[in-house]
Amino acid sequence: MNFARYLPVLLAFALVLPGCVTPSGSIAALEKRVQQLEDEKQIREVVIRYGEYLDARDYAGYASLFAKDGVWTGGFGSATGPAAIQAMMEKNLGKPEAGFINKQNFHLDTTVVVEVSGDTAIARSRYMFFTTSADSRPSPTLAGRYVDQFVRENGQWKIKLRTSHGVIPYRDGNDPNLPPPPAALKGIIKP
Amino acid sequence: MMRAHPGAMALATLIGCFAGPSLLAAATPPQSLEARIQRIDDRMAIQQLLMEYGRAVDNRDFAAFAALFTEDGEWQGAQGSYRGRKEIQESMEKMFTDAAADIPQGKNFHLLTNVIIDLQGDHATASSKFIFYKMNGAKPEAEVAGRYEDQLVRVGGAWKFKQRRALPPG
Repeated sequence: MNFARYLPVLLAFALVLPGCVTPSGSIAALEKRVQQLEDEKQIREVVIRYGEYLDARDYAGYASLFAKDGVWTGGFGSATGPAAIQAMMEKNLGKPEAGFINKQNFHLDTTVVVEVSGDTAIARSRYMFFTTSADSRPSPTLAGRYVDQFVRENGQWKIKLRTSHGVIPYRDGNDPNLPPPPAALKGIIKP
Repeated sequence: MMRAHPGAMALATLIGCFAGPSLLAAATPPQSLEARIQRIDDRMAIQQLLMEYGRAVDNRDFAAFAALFTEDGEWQGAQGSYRGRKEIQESMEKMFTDAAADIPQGKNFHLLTNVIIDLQGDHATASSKFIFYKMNGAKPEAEVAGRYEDQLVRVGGAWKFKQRRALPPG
């Protein structure tokens, strides 16, 4: 076979193919992968900010993490949407003090696994709630996990529903009759 | 009921095609794929920098530790405020040598978490949490918890601490 005879044809294909086939296809695929990374990053940030806002007693910031039909269910009852959630938090926990710095306790958020499918997502994560021990050391007082249903709202990922499950001590987040929090938390958290 | 004029319909379609995307673009400036990937790369590099900090201090490698800062970088904490790589390295070496009996190398570590990064081109701020664990025999015990507030800058393609402040957790 005279390979040289076909060389110009092969070359022409080699030049044309990447130009007309690959870019549009690969850019669309790349765009999808970048979108996935950006979605995951934003959802992880919401999971962290959830704890940070609570620790800072910033209930406006906290409520802004919820979707307009996002539901909060817990010890204070149930509320839907950011305005109602903020009002419920401030009614039960008091208005945040200006310049408040929390030196007593904080949430550690970790082991975040995010599954995005289109404009909805599920994030599973773990938390530890640290308080200050009698000898001024950080003391893990609660350990649990969150299951969050996320929804993309105007390009921003928001919480549609968070279910909080206690692991140590055990509290079933799906049980409407949650047992009271452990005695060690008396005076530290109210819900 | 009003009947739409064919010309008006065509005009609406044209406006829909041309004005629509440009109005959207005004609301949220479109980012090129390259710019979006760059932001992901920047976040990953900064996350790595924050973790390298913990590794350097746990390994008591204060030359590597100081190299994570800019030439004029600053470290602030309860122990004091140090500026420049040389001062940072020497101060950390002294701090950990003085405390060697209480916190010998290999018997304690930093756990770093809750990282939030805000990028602004070649500058960034980061907020994160740390827990310093000491081993009590085989049992890790949380000794100190706190928060880092960082100012970061890209120098010669690498992200560095311009300022790190170690603060109470809240």
